[in-house]
Amino acid sequence: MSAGAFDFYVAGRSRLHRLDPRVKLALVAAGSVVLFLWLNLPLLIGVVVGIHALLLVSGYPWAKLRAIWRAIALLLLLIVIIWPVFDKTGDLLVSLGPLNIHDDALLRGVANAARIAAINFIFILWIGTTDARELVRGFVRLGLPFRWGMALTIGLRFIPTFAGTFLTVSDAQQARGLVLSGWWYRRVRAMLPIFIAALVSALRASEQLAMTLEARGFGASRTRTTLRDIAMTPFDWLVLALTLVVAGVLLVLTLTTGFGRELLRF
Amino acid sequence: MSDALVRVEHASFAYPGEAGAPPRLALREVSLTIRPGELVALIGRNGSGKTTLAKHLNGLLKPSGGRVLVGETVTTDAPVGDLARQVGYVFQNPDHQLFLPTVRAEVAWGPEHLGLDGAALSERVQSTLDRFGLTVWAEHHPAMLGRGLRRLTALAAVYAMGPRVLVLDEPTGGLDRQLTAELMSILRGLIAEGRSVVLITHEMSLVAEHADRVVALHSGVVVADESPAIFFDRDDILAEAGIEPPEIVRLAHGLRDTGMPSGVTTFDGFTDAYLRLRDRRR
Amino acid sequence: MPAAVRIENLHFRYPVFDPDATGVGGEEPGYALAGIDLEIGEGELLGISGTTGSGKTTLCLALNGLVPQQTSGTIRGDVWVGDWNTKRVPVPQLATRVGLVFQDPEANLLGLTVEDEVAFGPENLAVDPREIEERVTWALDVVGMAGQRRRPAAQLSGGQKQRVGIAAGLAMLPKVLVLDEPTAELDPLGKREIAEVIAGLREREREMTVVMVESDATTLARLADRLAIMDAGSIVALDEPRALYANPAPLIERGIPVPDVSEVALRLNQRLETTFAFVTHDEAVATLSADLRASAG
Repeated sequence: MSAGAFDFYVAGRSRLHRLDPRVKLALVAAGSVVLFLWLNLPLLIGVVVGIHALLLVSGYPWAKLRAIWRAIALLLLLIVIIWPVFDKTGDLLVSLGPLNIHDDALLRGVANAARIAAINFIFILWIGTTDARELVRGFVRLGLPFRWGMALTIGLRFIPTFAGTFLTVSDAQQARGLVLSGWWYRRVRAMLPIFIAALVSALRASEQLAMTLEARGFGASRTRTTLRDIAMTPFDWLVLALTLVVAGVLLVLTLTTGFGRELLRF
Repeated sequence: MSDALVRVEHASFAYPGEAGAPPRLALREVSLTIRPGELVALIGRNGSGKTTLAKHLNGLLKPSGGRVLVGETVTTDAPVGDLARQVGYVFQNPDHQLFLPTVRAEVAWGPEHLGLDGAALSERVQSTLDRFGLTVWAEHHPAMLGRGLRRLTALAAVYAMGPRVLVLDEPTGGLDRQLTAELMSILRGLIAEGRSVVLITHEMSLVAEHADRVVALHSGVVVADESPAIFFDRDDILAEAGIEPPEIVRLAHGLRDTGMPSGVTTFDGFTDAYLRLRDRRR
Repeated sequence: MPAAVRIENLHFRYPVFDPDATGVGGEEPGYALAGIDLEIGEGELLGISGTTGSGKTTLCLALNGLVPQQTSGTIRGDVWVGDWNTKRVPVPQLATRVGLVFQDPEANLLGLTVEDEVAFGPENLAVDPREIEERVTWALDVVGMAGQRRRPAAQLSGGQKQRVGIAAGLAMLPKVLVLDEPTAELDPLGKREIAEVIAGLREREREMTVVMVESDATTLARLADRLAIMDAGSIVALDEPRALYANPAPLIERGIPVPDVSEVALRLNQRLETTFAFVTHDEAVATLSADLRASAG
């Protein structure tokens, strides 16, 4: 894991990139609600594929998507493995000692993993194509107090910094004799000095940050202006309307006819 | 020569590229030997590979091509924490290496982990504190001390492990003249007892005054490995590597056509040469 | 010249955690600033040089009110920026008269694009967006970063980051720009970049007062109108850099950096009983060449 692993945003000029961040947020929210209700395996896989297609067409790098898959792979695998332990629906597929794995249960596990992946990547649709400033601006225009928006911006800005500091401190401590090997538990204990030094570094950074913000007039005025503001274009309104309509329809369909809630059939 | 402390043999290294970009080659088949009792200055512009090379000396980075030997051990065969007994690395930001509540505790930590205890441990700690002038600050919290003292503490903590080679990354940043002189004097003391020091630095005046050897890097390649006197006269290499010689050297060069000899790199050297010139002309 | 800043009998001590801790010296142990009296004229570039721990950074922080408002601690005396007292006027408001650029290039940046970093200050002041645009364009032009507006500041080199930090300070349209060792964390190339930017700024904005803490004596010799030497919380010398560096012995004794050529002059004077007083490289070459030629005759 490198410090860049938390950097989801990749600049671009596609339609998706230029969509108003509030519209993308609506897309994510509506999509998440619908996806939460679905358990249909082919549908969920289709959604994941569709999102990937949209991202790739918009210029999002495949290497980044691969890196994200790598990051969530362990979690997904765990879901698939653990699920049959607690779920016994369907016919018995195979028996591993005390553990009985049923076919439906296994597929359910996969479907749940697919759902997690789908929701994950729908968020990428939003934060992968919106830069930090626009992201925060979107929230602020929707009513978030600016102070919170600034906290969010700074939080995002510091994640790679702290990750980098952590790695540097880890190197620095090893260079003075800290050995990071052996048992899990030993290793974590050995990392305590790293946490301490990294924390001190973080505290110093936040102290400095407070000074920098004040020195730039933060808090001077109750209102704030913006150099470049976001504004809804006709295209934005169109996408928003479509999103709400489609999500609404799907939601009604799902709740009334059970569309998408069955594992393999529609 | 078999008394080499660290041997870098045709080492190449590439940092992984970001999101799809090709990896960039930071070191290209670099070879370097560190022998006992020398102060080696490692210089080059930002991005020349000098820090990358330095981090290979104690195994923080492993070469993708070629190999690095610390004593008889290949760096890929041992964890960094173990190699720290032979090659110490003092980071640019001392705060990254300190985490204990007193200077004494910092200095004791390394040797304790090596298995020293009792009389042997307190002996090692006390002699280290004395050597670095930290005895009077021994019970202080490092965070309460100034930057120079924190740097000395980190250096002492690394030294206490007993390494034969010490690598220091830009140790004079934020240090005034007096502290810099103290630091260099301590380093010279280490050289005198057979250890070696590798100094990554931008301060050419320091290099000119104190280094036995100058290793200059440019785009991942070693472009020079000479004594300062020879190095600072090589205008072509200086230009290629983007290095500016220290003011003393520039001044000596400016007086070439009145007879100033080449190879002048120190204040004393300049004064002596100037006086001789004046006398000769009488 | 009307005074842009007036410092009257300023004493300051950081909050003390350990009463036994030995201080930085001065009249009472622990006082970072031990009696500063100083008037900084409008449009002048005041250089500040001194040993580690002499109070240079603390003085910078006192100029925009961070000392004492952010740092707490004990303060006596006053700092007046025009008619505003730095103990009473809130720091964000003082920021409209005093722009502060920190030593660490990272500290001056908030993780935005170049343009947004520079716009941040005026945005906080609720300046009209059209005027913000003008200020941003002007500030980036002064520091030579106009072509990099949309780049994320994190991707820049050290020297470039520092230039953006300076632009961010300038965009507040301060009367006084305070730079705390702006080149300390930069490589020689970056150091030269910043020196050029400051020189260029002074050419363009002649009424802007600049206070610059700097350890490179050659830069100070070149840029500063007056130079204040600090030691243990006090100003021990205040004069034109040329005058101070022509007599470098007391400075060297205190551990204050002097231009290398000044040190050469001192050593030669000691050995030859000459009275060399050059302060720049070119002067040194000219003077010494002439001396060598004269001694041959």
